[in-house]
Amino acid sequence: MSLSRSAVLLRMDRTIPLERRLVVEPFFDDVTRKAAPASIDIHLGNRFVFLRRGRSVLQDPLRLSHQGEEMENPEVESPEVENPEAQGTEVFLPFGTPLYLHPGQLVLGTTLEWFRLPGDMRADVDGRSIWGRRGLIVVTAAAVQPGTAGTITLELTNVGEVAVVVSPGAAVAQLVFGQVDTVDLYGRQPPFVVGNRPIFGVYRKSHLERALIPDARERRINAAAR
Amino acid sequence: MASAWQLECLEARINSLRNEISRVTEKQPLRAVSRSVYRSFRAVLDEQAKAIGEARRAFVSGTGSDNDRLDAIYDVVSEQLWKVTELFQTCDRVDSPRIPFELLPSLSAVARALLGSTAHILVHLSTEYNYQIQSLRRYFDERNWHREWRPPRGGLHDELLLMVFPSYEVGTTLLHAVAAHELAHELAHRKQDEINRRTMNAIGRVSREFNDEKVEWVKSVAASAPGTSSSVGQDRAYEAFKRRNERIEKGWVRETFADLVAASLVGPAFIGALDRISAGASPARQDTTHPPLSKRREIIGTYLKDNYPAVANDPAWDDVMSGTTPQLPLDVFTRCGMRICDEIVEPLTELITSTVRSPLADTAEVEAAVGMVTYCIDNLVPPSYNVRIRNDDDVASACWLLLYATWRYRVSKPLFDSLCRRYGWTDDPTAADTAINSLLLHSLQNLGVKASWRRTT
Repeated sequence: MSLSRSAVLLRMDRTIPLERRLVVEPFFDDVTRKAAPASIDIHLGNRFVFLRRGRSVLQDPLRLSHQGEEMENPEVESPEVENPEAQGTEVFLPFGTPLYLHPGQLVLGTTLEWFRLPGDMRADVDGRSIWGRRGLIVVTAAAVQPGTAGTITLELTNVGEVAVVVSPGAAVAQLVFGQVDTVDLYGRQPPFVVGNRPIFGVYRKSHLERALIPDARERRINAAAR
Repeated sequence: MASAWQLECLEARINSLRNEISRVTEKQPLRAVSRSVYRSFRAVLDEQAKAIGEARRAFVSGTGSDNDRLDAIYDVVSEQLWKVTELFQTCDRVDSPRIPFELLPSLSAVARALLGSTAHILVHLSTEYNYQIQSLRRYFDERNWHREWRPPRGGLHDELLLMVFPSYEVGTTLLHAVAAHELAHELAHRKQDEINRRTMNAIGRVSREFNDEKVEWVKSVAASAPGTSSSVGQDRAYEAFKRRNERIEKGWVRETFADLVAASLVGPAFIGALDRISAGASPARQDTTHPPLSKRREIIGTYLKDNYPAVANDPAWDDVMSGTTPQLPLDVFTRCGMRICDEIVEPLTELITSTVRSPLADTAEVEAAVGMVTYCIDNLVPPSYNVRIRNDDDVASACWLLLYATWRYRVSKPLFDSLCRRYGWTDDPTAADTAINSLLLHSLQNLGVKASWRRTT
C-alpha cells in the first residue's frame, strides 16, 4: 500500500530517531505549488552519463557476446565483469543549463536529493505526467530498496518525436513510498552508496545464472567443481 | 641576431596557441568564468602577435628597424609567450567532468567571507601531489597584463581563483580542509603591510642572533666554489644567502600566517589534510619554501591550546597532533626560520583574531556540530541535514564546521570502526572512506542549494 504525502512527511519528522526516519536531503516543502497527495517530487542533479556509441555496440551484462571467441579458443579469458563505466561519458551541467534529449536517446542522470530509507520503507520512482506527455520517460527500473543511502540514478529516455529540453534542478520525477516488514539493516552493505554520480552498476550473476548461462571462465569453474 | 625565419617561427607558435585557446573557448559546455580567462589569454597573445608581426614586416621591408631592436622584440615576445603557455597549462581542462564542481559554490562562499570580494573558482586537476589556490588576477598583474585582463562574469573587482589539486584525489572531499591555508595566502597578500609591520621586530631580533653563523655560511660557500675568483665566489655566495634569507623572512612568515588562519577555521583538520598531502614525500626532497612539518604541527598545536582549548584538548585529535615526520639536518637558515616562526605567533594572533571570524570560537556550537555530524554519518545521512542557512555567511561557517567535524569523525578510530561494522565494511574500509567523502561532498553542495532557496524566499 502506498503512503500518502502527509504520512511520508510524518516519517520525515525530526522527533523520530534518525535510524528509523526517512531522510530526504535537501528537502523543501514548497508551499507555493500544489503538491501531489501520494508522492514527493524529486529533482534532477548535475551529473549525466551519455552512452559512447563509438565504443559499445551493445549492452551485454551477461557477457554472452564473448562465447563465440571462447568456443574457438578456450584459452581466451573473458573479463571477470564487464566494465560498464567505460561505456559512458560523464558530463557536469550547472543548474539552469539545458540538456537536450533527442528522440530515442538514453541518458543516465541522478537526483539532486540524497535519500536514506529506513528498514521498513521502500519507494518507487515514477515520472511526472507533465514530462511524460512530452515524451520524457524518467525511469526504467524503479524500485528503491530499504536501507538505500545516496542519490538515485535516473534513466532518462525520450520516446517522443522531437527533442525534449530539461535542466539540472528540474522536478522531473516523483517518489512513491510504501511500507515493508522491517528489514534488519545492521551489518548489511547498503545498496548503492555512491553519492553524486549516476552509475551503470556491475551485473553480478546469481548462482542460477552461472549454472544456466555460464561464460568460459564460469564453465571452467563449474567443471572443476564437478 | 633574430632572423626573419625565427620571427616567422615565433609568430606561428603564437598563432597555434591562439587557435588552441579559441578551440577550448568555443567548446560546449564551458562555464562563463572559464571563457573569461581564455579570452584574457587571447588578448595577451593578440598583443604579442601584433608586435611580432610588425617587427617581421619591418625586418622584411628593411624600413626603420635595426637588428638590436628586433632582437629585443624577439626576446620580449618569446618570454611573454612562455609565460602564457605556462599559465595556460595550469588553466587548461578546467571543465573536466571529474572536477567536484558540487563544492565550488561553498568554497566561493568561504573565499568571499575571508577575502571580502566575490570569488569565482576554476579548478585544474594536476598529476603532481600539490594543493594550491591562487588569484588569477594577481598572476596577470605580476606579468603586467593589466589591460588584457577580462573580468569574470559579475564585475571588474570580482576575484577569480585558480585551484590546483591532485587528479587522483578528486574523490577525497576531506582534502579541501587545505583550502583554509591556501585562501589564507590570498588574505596574507592583502594584509602584507600589516604583517610586515607586526613581525619586523621579531624577525630583526632573531636574525641578529644568527648573524655570525650566517656569515660563516657565506664564507664557507664562497670558499667551496672551485675555479672562481674570490670576489666572484663571494658575490655568488651572497646572492645565495639573500635568496635563502628572503625565503625564510618573507616566505615562512606568510606560511605561518596561513597556518594559523587555517587552524582558526578548521583546527587540527588542517594538519590531517596536510599529512595526507605530504604522505610519502621523500625526506631528501624536503621542501624549503615551508617550515618543517614538525614545526608547523607544534606551532598549530600551541596556538590551538592557547586560543581554542576545547578543540586542542579533544582526544579525538591526539594521533593527528602527535604525528612525526622525518627531517633533514637543520642548517642555520632552517634553525633561524624556526625561531622566527615561534616569535611571530603572538603578533600574528592579534591580527588574525581581529580579521578572521573563527567558527571554532563558540565551544557550544562546535560541540553541537560534532554531535550532529557524528549522528548523521553513523546513519549515512549528509551532515548538512541539520544545517540552517539564513545567509551567505552561514554557508562559510557551516562549510568550515562540516570539514572540521567530518575530519574528526574520520580520525576517531572508535567512530570509524563502528561505522565499518554497522554497514559490513570491516573487510573493506575504503568503502567507509568513500561513503564519508560522498556524504561530505553532498553536504557542501547542499549548503549552496539551501542558500539559493533562502535567497528566493
